[in-house]
Amino acid sequence: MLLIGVFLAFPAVWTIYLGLTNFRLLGTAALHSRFVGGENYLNALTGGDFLHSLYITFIYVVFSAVIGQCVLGFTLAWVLRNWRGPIRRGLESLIIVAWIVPGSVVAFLWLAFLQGNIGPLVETGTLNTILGGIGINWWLELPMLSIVVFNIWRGTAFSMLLFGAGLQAIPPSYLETARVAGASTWQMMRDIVIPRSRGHILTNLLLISLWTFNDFTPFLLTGGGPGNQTQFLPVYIYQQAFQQGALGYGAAISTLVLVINLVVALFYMRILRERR
Amino acid sequence: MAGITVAKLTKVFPNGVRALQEVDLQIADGSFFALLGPSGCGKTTLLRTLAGLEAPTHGTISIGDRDVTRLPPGARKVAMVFQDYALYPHMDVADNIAYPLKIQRMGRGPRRQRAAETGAHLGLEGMMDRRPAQLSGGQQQRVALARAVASHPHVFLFDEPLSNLDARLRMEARTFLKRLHSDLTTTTVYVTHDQAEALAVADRMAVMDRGTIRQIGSPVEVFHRPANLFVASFIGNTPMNLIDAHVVGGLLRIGDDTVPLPPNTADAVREGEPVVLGARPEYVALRPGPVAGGVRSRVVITEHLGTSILVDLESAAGPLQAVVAEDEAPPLGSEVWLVVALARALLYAKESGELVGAALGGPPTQRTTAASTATLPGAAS
Amino acid sequence: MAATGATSAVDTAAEDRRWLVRALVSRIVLYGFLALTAAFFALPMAWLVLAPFEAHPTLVAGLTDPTLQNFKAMFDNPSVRGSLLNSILLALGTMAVVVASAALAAYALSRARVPGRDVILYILLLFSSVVTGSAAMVPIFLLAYDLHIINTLTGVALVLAGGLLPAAIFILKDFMDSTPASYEESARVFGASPFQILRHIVLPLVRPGLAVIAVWTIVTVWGSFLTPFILLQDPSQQPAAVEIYSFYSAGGTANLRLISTFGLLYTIPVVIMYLVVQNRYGFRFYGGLKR
Repeated sequence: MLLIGVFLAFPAVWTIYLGLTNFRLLGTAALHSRFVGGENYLNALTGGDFLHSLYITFIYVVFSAVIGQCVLGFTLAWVLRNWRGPIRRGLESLIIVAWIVPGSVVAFLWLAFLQGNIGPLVETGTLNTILGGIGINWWLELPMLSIVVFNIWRGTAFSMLLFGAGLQAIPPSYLETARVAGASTWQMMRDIVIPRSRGHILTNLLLISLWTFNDFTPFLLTGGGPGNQTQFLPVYIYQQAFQQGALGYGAAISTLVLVINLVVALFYMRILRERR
Repeated sequence: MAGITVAKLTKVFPNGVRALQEVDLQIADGSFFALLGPSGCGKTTLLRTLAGLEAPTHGTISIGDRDVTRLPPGARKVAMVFQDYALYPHMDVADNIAYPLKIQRMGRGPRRQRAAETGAHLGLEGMMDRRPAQLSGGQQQRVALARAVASHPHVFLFDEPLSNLDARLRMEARTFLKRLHSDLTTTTVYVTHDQAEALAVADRMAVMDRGTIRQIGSPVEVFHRPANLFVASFIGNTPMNLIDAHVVGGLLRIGDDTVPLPPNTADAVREGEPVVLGARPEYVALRPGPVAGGVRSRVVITEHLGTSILVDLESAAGPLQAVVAEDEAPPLGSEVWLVVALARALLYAKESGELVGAALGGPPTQRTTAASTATLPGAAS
Repeated sequence: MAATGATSAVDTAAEDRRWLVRALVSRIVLYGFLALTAAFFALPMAWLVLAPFEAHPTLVAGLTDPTLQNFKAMFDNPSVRGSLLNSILLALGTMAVVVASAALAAYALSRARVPGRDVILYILLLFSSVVTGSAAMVPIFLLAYDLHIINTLTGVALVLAGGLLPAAIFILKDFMDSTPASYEESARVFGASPFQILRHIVLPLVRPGLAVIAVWTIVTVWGSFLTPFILLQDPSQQPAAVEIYSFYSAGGTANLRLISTFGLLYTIPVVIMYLVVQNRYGFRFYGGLKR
């Protein structure tokens, strides 16, 4: 009995300790920024940089995660759901490998892939070679588009796998009944698949939004540039806190970002709960 | 309304399983046709191929005079009821019933109207705005039926629609289905592994085994005159006694015993040919002492079946069974002689497994019923 | 009915043809979509697979002059060797901490009836996926600085472990919940102590779960960039993730031979681990399997 007590107490304390650690991290940030002064928050909220960064991060999340990964992942899960054999395994493996290869490697792959004939790497990348002589320097001329496409490439696997599991939970006879009635693919989606997998869709949206929102890989790709065109919030925090040395200001933005994360999470959880 | 013609239908799944092999089948317009067989025999695959949910490897399917082999399910004007009913949990009963109509682009008003009418016809009044989860199993089953009925299909396809109900409800639902069919006279194909169900509801049936049809006929025909050993062993509450024998001197030799040939079979067998004598346990009698034409055996177990007793026997020809009246059970371990009612017995060739000769099988009174049903398929409507 | 029979048959035939055409078109669209998707996912990867074997790699994927020379050159590079060693130490260390703590915590949480534990766990899970992310880089840096674990691999391992633990506990608790209590009860009847029960019964039963956690921790730590990037200043301590970045972010012409070879070598372990897990356990889905 004594051992059971120790047994239960230790992990429980450990969990509480973890909670405290996380909490204290927040506390430190809050304290630090208050010490430096409330003007950090004012600066952030009134100065253009933070709002600009917030705005482009929002665009980035909406287009690459909410629209790109979610839609492509769902389409792939749907199309592949009844397939067996090498085509499915091959395609899935490709997509999953894109997801698990370490960030600093894929970053370089994409730098190389989209490279135009200007910049520090004075050569042409694979894409421009295939397209033949158009010679767009994607990272300099269309940085936002490039990074959105990159993130779709990088993160679609998760949506595909989650939706794949979700689609498997729909009894085949539901879809077959609709097919015998003559329903088109679109009608089956609207009337059966989407209502049935709302939970999966919302969970997926929550997770991929948060991950994309906090993703630091853009730093590896563009370093926020050119100019500040891809200076998403995590990059902005890093540059302010560590490159500019403005730790207090960085901490203030961190706190704001955490609050935004929390709001987004609560928002999704609210919708999810309403369903139940 | 439409009949169904299936010609040389073969289905090979990608994993190499041959679910259907050259199946030929004609289902008359308006008939209630049962597909019966053990699990894995291909009956559900055949049904799903009729629905268009599986594409056949070879062969053609026509509904009415229209070749539907390559058409998608929705173009075939069929309705299917699944084993699990496939009622949509996120729609109420009325929306479930009206869903095929919605797909056919019927307006909301008319389709709710039609759903209500169909629901009322199937005894679902007052449940139209409930969710499927709030209904009992029997009610869910009727909603699934109503959904099939409401779209006015040319053919109903039922995939074991009663197997999720408990025994008592199943009986009720069976009667209900039969009545519904006689009201609507829509061609119905009904898949089941329960032979009692097939015998009860269908006016024609096919017995399937390993992707082929082993016998087609009226339920009475199939029950009393199984065309081969497979059907003989599959059909019947208690399995038919199939006794190995040899033809010796115009008689059947079973172990050390000798039994006369059933009537009308003598011309069809050769001297020395190995055959199998088929006799249902209900159509045999037990004698306490040696008797001419009896098979010597020993009582192993007796089981009460309510109004009768099932006696398990051991003999030189292997295990046998007999059903006797409830007060006639022989003592355990005693020796008895099993006498086959030859007028109701059947004879099969050992090698081919096919029925030989013109043995009639079954009691004479039911035989006439069988003949009339066989010549007038779909006469019920 | 009989009078309109002829015309309706013609209509039906036309309608049937439309159905067939539609089926054909949708098939073509489907294959086109799959081919495009495959190209989209394969093309950027092609360079990583081909360039390491190319004597004079350019940024265009291709293989004109195959060689294995690049690998020899890379192994001779001390910073490559050092950073790979750092990555291994970091991954194994973090894994040890995570697996040991998560096993104990998950067992306790799975067996004890703590009110509201699911809510607590869920909130922890949600927070951990955010807090160890980039939003918390400043507080984490300050905390590590205060605790004097900055510039040490131990510090990085602890910070990473802290972030991974809630999800690991969550996953492992799921495994433990699905082992029947009767196994343990029968052991208790034999007189086994709680530690014996854990060692002899529970841990062997949840071994797939432990393996999942271990692999997942290693893969995550192996690829993590931000935490070591912030917490480690000394180049000799950098793990491969950071080292490789410094290869192409530093000014001048990038050494493509080194980057490609190093990148491939650094990538292969996680791909292999993924394949092993996939083959041995199939893909069982967990909410926060990867961040």
